[in-house]
Amino acid sequence: MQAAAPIVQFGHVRKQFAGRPVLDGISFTIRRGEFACLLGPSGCGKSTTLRMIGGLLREFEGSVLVEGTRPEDRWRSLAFVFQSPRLVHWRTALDNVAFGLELREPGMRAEERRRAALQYLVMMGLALDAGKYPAHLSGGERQRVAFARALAVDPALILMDEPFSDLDVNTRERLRDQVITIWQATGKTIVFVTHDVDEAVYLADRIFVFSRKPTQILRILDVGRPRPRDLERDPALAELRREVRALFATQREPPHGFPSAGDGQPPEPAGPRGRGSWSGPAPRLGG
Amino acid sequence: MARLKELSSPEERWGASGPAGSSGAGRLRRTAQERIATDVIPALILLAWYLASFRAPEYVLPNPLSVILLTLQLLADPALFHHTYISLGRVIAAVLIALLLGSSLVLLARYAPLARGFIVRRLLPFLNAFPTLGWAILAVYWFGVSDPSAIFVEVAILLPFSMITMWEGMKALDEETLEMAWSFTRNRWIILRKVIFPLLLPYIFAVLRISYGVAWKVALIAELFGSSVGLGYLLNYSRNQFNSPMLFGTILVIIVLVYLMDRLGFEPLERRMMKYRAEAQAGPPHV
Ligand SMILES: Nc1ncnc2c1ncn2[C@@H]1O[C@H](COP(=O)(O)OP(=O)(O)O)[C@@H](O)[C@H]1O
Ligand SMILES: [Mg+2]
Repeated sequence: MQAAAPIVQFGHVRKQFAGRPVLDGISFTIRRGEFACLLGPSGCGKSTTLRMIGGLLREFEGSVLVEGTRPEDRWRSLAFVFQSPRLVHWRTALDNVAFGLELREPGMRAEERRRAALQYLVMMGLALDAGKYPAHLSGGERQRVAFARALAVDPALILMDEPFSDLDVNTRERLRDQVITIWQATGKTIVFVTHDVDEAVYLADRIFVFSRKPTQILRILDVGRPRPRDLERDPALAELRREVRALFATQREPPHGFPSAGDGQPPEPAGPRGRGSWSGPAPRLGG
Repeated sequence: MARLKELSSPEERWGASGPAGSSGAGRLRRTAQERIATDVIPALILLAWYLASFRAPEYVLPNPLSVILLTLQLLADPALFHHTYISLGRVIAAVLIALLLGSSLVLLARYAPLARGFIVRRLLPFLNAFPTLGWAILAVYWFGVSDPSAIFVEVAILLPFSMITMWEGMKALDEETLEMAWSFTRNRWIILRKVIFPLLLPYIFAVLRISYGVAWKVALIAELFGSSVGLGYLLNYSRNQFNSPMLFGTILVIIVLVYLMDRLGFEPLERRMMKYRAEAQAGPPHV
């Protein structure tokens, strides 16, 4: 498995919704095994981009290739972790983890599925919660179940769409470390969407910075710092963070005097979710 | 967010499981006063009926003992019980046919936009408005006096109930859950079985319960015209003969059958099929 081989390729991808351009000619390549962060303001088309990779959105201009072919033929190579856990409420944590396998490999024996599911639950530190229903799990636990569900189908590529943005700061920071640990242990490719500068700097091998819509790629940044990272102590990371923030500042005021980032979008809810994101003050990381 | 989603699950929106929990009427703890209201009042009414029956002519108010005797005969006496079980069989067949047909039509409406307008805007209002008596008379013209004739009328009346309820269920299907499922498989059949069916289960039970009660009301009219056997036929027969105990007994046997089906059929089945609910409510939800 050569590290530099491309796993996802976008070539001049454009996408409109109801005549309004969202993606305005996007080209980039994600390498096998890397941790890629797509960073951009709310509503710029990050989820749309992930859907295209996942073959869930098939109408667009330009070319999207996953492992060299059409995404709709490669759905077996990847799994999603969404912003909300999307667990099914009638199944326990264990059976939710097994659910992805059950959908993907209906021929597999139930016992075998559950054994695999348990292994990933244990990996996520949820062995004692296997029998609990989602209603009895905390937000962070649910999201870990969702992550285990994605891991259980053993995909080459995991697509994570702002998976921690609904969680409190402490949980978020713990889960970031957990994702890094598992990524390092499994060698999978992760495409991680976020609108949080610090999160991208903390996690990514490379950061793909998206502009406001109509969206283009502003810059692709190599982070290239060892892990575990500390944004406060590592001057290179601090510098990188400054650079990305500056890049964002140019994106804050839209041209032609339109209201900022929202652009017809409902505003982001206030509260912990807004912290450390696009325009807010950054929380301390890793301290 | 996940929490909000749970709160808007169909049962809760329908208010079936209020703050007191969804243990159902069957497991309500009864206080002494409630016991009096529930059981003693009917007993007193029965007693009053018994006493009054000595003063009234039999065709106005038959002796409750002979009514109960006839009810028992209708359930257990081979000379009579075929009327009961044939009606019951027709009702059950009609309920199941209407559920399957209604669900299929509504699934078709959801997944074949071409058919949607016809099914939802033409067929549904048409069936909903069509009078029972109209179907009953037409069924005799079309099918003669026969089993299919009675079942046809019952299905025709039940169909709009099942279509409306199942259509509401389809509209309430959680798009995010469906997208999650779609990201794990491209097999529509598996998604239908493992995701859509469980999501629709509360609606299916609603259809069954409503249909079973309505089907009995319709069955009598259907059998009055289109059958030479069954409780509807018996009702008509006793009317002609001024056989008042038989008339009352027929009515009572239907009440008994509807009640028993609810308590011994639907309630345990629902509890079994939605076991997760009881288990998910075993402890206080995590905040
Ligand atoms: N199915 C859709 N129909 C119409 N507009 C959509 C649809 N999906 C996304 N959009 C629009 O496309 C833009 C980008 O959406 P999205 O990819 O969800 O943004 P992000 O994930 O970066 O916040 C938004 O303006 C959104 O309203
Ligand atoms: Mg998004």
